[in-house]
Formats: sequence, C-alpha cells, structure tokens
Amino acid sequence: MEYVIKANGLNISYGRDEPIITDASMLIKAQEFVFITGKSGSGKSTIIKSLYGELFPNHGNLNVCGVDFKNISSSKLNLLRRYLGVVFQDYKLIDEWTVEQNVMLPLIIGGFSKSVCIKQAHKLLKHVKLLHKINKYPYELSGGEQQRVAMARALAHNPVLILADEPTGNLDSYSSEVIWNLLKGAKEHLGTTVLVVTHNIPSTLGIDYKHYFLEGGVLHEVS
Amino acid sequence: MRSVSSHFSIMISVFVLLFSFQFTNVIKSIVNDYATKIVNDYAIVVVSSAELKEDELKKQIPEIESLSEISSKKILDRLKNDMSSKNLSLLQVALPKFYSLKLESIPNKKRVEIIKQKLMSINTITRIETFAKTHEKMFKMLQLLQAMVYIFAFFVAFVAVLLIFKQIRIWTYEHNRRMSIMTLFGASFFMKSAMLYRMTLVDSLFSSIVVCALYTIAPKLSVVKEFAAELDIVIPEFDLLLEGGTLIGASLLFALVAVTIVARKIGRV
Repeated sequence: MEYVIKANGLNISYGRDEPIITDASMLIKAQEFVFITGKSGSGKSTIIKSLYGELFPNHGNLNVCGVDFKNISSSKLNLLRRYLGVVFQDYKLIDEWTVEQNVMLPLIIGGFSKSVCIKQAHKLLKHVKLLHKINKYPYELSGGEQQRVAMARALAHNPVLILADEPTGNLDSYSSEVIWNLLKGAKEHLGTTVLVVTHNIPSTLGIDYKHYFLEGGVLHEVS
Repeated sequence: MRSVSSHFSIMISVFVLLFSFQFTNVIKSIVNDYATKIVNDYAIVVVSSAELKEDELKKQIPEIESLSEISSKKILDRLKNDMSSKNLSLLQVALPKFYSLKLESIPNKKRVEIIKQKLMSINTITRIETFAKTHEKMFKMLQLLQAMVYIFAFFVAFVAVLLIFKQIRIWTYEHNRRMSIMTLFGASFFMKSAMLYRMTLVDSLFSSIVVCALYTIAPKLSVVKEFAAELDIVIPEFDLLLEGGTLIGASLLFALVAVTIVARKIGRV
C-alpha cells in the first residue's frame, strides 16, 4: 500500500449546510508525517473526522488504508477504525474506566488477550510517564495528563495511521514535548503514518514532514 | 442508590410481566378443570317411549360422550305400598324410558338448542330436559372471569414492557458517551452494548427465578390449599422444568430483543 490516504475533490459539510471543505485533495504515503494547519474554524477537525468516518464527504473520493469510503458498510468502517489511532482535542477518555483500562481499549476491541493488553498498556504508560497513575480515573488527572493517556491509547495497538486533532492545543510545554516525541517515535520506530491537525508546527521537531494549509475550505499543499 | 433503583425498575417490571403471564396460565388451568367438572356433572335427561341406541344417536350428535338409562326401579319401589301389583305391572309397561345423556364438552345455549331439536326429531322421544339455564349461567361466569383476568394481565404486561423499554433507554443514554468512544475505535455493536445486555439479562434472570420460586411454593402453602378446597378448585402444580424453563427462556429472550431494539435505535453509534 503506497498511499495511506488518497483524497480527491472532497466536499464535506454538516448536514445540508454549505460545505466546510471544498474540492480537497491529498495524497499521503506510508510513514509520512503530515501537518494540516489553518485558522480556527477553517475545517481542520472536519477533515480529521472524515478520515475516521465520523463525517462522510458529499462529493469526491476518499480512500484510507486501502478502504474506499464510497458506500462503506458499518462493519467495514469498524474494521478500518481498528487500524487507526485517533487523538482527539477533547481527549475522549471513558470516565468510569481507569487510566489502564482506557489505554487497553483498542487492544480489547482488537481481541488481544488480557495479559497482552496489560503488558502493552504498562509499556505505553511508562512512555508517557504516567505509570504511577495507572489506577486513577481520567477526572483525577490534569488536562496534560489526560492527553498523554489519550496518546498512549492511540498508540496501544500499533496503528497504521495516527490522526491527531490539536494534540497539544492546551497543554503545558512538558506534556507537549512528551506528545511530539511519541508521534515522532511512532513514525521513526514503528513506521506509522502520522497526520496532525494543529495551529502551529513545533520548530524543534527535527523530522521531515509534509504540510497542508487550509484556508476558506480549500486545502493547499505548502511543502 | 440511583443505580440500585434503576435495577429494581427492570426487576419489578420483568417480575410483573412474568407473574401476569403465569397467572393467566393458572387461571386457564383452573377454569378448564372447573369446566371439566361441570361437564361431568351436566347431563341432558331424555324421555323416550322406546329404547335408544347410543351409536345411532352419536351419528346425529357427535359430541355425545355417553348415553345411560336411568333406572325406574326406585320410583316403582316407592309406589309399591300405594298401588296394587297389577296396576304396578301396568304402569311398568306404560312407563317411558329415562336416559341421561352426557356430552364431551360444555355446549353453549345455541348448541344446546340444536341438540334438543335433533333429539326431538326422533319420533320416540317425548320430552327433553336440558337444564340449560343453570349450566349456561355458570359457564358464562367462568368465561367472564377468565376474560377479565386476560384483559387485566394484558394491560399490566403492557405497562411492564413500557417500563422495561424506558429503563433500557435511560441506561443507553447513560452509557452513550462510552459507547460512542468505543465506536470510534471500531468496537462492534455487541461489544459496546455488552454492559446493557449484562445488566438487563442479570435483572431478568433474577426476576424469573423469583417468579418460578413463588409459583412453586404458593400451591403448597396451607392457606392457599384451604382456599382452593373451599372453592372446590385445583391450583395446578408448577412444572419447574417446562414452565420454569419457558419463563426463564422467555424473559432472557425478551431482554436480548429489548436491548437490541433500544440500543440500535438510540445508539446509532
């Protein structure tokens, strides 16, 4: 699979409203690190939502990890999502589950044994420096810690593609650094394709990346 | 506390649903039993100048169970002291034959009339006593009682079903956030609804066991036995294997269907 994301002429809107994204096209190869930047309300999150199937394009062709979104069945969409790691702006952690259980979620869905789930969760929580908070609940953590848990969850099942929506939006510099290092590590060590939607590209990232800029609903390739 | 009360609303509703269902079965059994008793007690008296053959009558009236002659010996014995033996012999010769005609089931008023007409069409039959009025009244009373129980049970069950659906809907909304997060990571419908299934199935199982226990114990209680004896009715024994299995199976199946319908309708995640 040469291209992980193939999008051509996408029009995306919420319901019957005017399209937020118009005629968007992008080609993202495996193991690429991609940024999509743009002003607030430009539709960055809308693009991410369409890539994991929360929103469907009105027009155009979209193919993610070899799965075509035209007339996609819910079972096929579920299967695709098991190969994605998504980091949400609002973390989307399950409040009634512990940190450990939250990180184990994609592994449980993937059908891994309990011992594998626990081992992998511990390994990732160690990476995000939260192993000592394994039995805490999300509401007992700070915003930065919650986002690090969400990051560990997104990486738990070694996804083919990581989609991160403003992963460092409101975080302190320490948490931001941990998250960027993890995303960088996923690309470099695991060969994962990473697509990040953000306001600002960190200057100290130190890797090659592709950059799209979103303006007025139109996606421009910058570099 | 709120969580416990939400479980009670499923448990009580399932209990009421199963209790009313089984109650209709018990009433049906009691009424059938009572109806059999009425049939056994009920007979049409036929007076005929000549002997009647059961087989020939059955050809015309298939619901005839049996035809037996009522002996006139008792009446004649009573008249022995008041009449001469000659007159008694003459009376014996002139006296018609009396028959008791039993039916297989309780006929309604219309059917009794048809049977009567068929019997009257036989030349030798001179008189028929059907006792239709007494019998009809009793039978109608039983049917009314049964219908009232059925209607009442239906409404109770209907309300119980509504309450069960309402509670599952509340649970679905309570767990909606978790279910949508699980969806975003590719969880199947049954995986993300597992909690709802577990809660509803456990509550339903508990309630059905309580209903089974109640119907097993109740007929054995002396108070119930005495009451049944006073009314001359038989309260059926609860068949734990067949009836209990049906109740438990039905409640679990209902729980599965209810959760699937509600979670699919509301969840859509």
